[in-house]
Amino acid sequence: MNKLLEVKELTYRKNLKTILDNVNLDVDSGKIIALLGENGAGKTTLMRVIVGIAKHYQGDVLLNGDGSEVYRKANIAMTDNLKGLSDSTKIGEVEEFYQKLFSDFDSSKFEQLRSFMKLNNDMKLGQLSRGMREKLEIAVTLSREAKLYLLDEPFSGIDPMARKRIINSILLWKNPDSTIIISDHFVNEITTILDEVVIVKDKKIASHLSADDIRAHGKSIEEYYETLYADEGAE
Amino acid sequence: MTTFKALFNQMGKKKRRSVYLLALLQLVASTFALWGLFYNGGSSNSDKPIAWFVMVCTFAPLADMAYVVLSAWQNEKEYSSQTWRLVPISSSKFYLANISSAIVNGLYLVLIQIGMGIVTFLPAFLSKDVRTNIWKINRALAKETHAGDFWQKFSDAFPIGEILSAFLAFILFAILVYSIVTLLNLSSRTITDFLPDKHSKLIRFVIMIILIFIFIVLTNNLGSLLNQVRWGDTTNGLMSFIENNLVLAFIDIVLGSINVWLLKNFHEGK
Repeated sequence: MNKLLEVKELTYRKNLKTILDNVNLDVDSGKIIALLGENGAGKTTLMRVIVGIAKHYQGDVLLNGDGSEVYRKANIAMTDNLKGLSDSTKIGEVEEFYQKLFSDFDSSKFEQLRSFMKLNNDMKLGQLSRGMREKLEIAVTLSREAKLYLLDEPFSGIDPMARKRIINSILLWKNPDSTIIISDHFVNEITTILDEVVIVKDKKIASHLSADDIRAHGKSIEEYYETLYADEGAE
Repeated sequence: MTTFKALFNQMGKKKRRSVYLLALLQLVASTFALWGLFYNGGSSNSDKPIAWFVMVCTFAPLADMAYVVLSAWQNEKEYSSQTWRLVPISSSKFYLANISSAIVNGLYLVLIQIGMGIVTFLPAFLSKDVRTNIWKINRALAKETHAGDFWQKFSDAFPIGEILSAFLAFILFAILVYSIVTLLNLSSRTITDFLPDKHSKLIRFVIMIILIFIFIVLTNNLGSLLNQVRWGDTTNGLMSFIENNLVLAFIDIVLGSINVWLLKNFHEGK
C-alpha cells in the first residue's frame, strides 16, 4: 500500500488558542476513512491544513512526499460551501467554474452525479435548500479525479433516504487508488463503507485503527467511538 | 495546476457583470436626468442637442468610482473565499490575476462609456449650429496642419510619449488603490488572528484605523523624501511623468510583495 498522506508533528494555533496539538497521521492510498470527533475537536481545521487553506502551522503535511501547497490543492478535492459564488450562479455555471479552474474535473462524471442527486442545471445556488446544496458540493468534489477527497460533514443537511443512497454509491464513484476522508456525525450510516477510523480528541489524534480491528474486538464503530469519549466523562 | 489565464478569465467574468450593470445604470440615470431637465424646462434650445451627451459624461465619473468600490470589494471577497483559495495556483499569480482582472474590466467600462458618449452625441448632428461649429474646427485644424510639417503639428497636438505615460500612470495608480485596500484588509485580518477571538470585529476596526493612520504618516514622509531626491528635468512633462511612474511602480511592487507574502503565509479563505 502506498503512503499517500503524511502529517508530522502538526500544531495549529489561532486567536491564542491551540486547535491542533502535535498531530501525526499517516494515510495510505485506496482507503475510505472516517474522521470522528465532537464539535470543535479540530476535524475541519485538520482538513483545511491538509488541503492548504489553513496557514501558519508548525509541522509538515506531505502528499506523495510533496509538501507544496499548490500540489496539494491540485491533488486534493475538498467539499466547499461554494460561498465564493453568488446566489444567482446557476448549477451549470458552477460546473463551468470547476471545469475551467481544475484540470482534473470530469464533466461527464459531474453530469452523472448531478442527475443522481436530482439537481437541475438551471437551478440557482440561492434557490437550493441546505440538503440540495450539500448534494451539489458532493457532486462537484467527487467529479474531480483527485488522489485524496476530504468530505467535511457532507451529509448533515441531507434527508436520511438520500443520505443512505449517496453513502452506498460512494464506492462506485471512487477511483480504486484514491482515498476518501469523511468527517461526520452519522457514524452508524457510514460504517459499512469504512476501512479505517481516526478519532480526534483533545486536539490530538486519539485513535487511528482499521475498521476490521475495531470489529474484531466485538464492538461496532459507533460503540468504540462512544467508549473513547465516555472515558473522558468518567475521569 | 490552474493557469493564470483561466483564473484571470473566471475572476474577470464576475467583475464584467458589475461593468454591465454600472453602464446600464449610467445610461438609465442620464436618460432620467435628461427627461427631468426637459420636463422642468431647464435647458435652452441650443443646449438640447448635446444635453444627453452632457448627462452621460456627468454620470461617467460616478459610475467609474462605483466600479472601483465594487471591484475592490469583489477582490477582497475572493481573497477571503475558500472557494477561490482552493484553486491550485501560487499566491503571486492569484494576486496578479485578481488585480489585473479588476483593471482590465475597469478599462472595459471606460470603453463602453466612450461608446455611449459617441452614440449620445449623434443627435447633436441634427442641429445646424453644432454641424457648423464642427466644420469650423475641422477647417481650422486642417489649416494648422497645412501650415508646416504635418508630423510636427501632429505630435504637438498628440504627444504620444506623454499620452502613454499618463495612461501608464493611470494603471499604476489603479494598482496602488487596489493594493492599499488589500493591504489594509489582509494585514488587519492577520493581526486579528493573533489576538483573542472576543470582540474580534471591534478589534479589527481599531487595527484598521491604526493602520490607516500609519499609512498616511508613511505616505507623507515618503512624499517629502522623494521631493528632496528628485532627479531629472522636472520642468519637462515627459520626464516628470516617467519619474512619477517609477515611484508609483516601486510602491506598487513593495505593497504587492507584502500582500503576496500575507496571502501565502497567513491569510486564510473561509
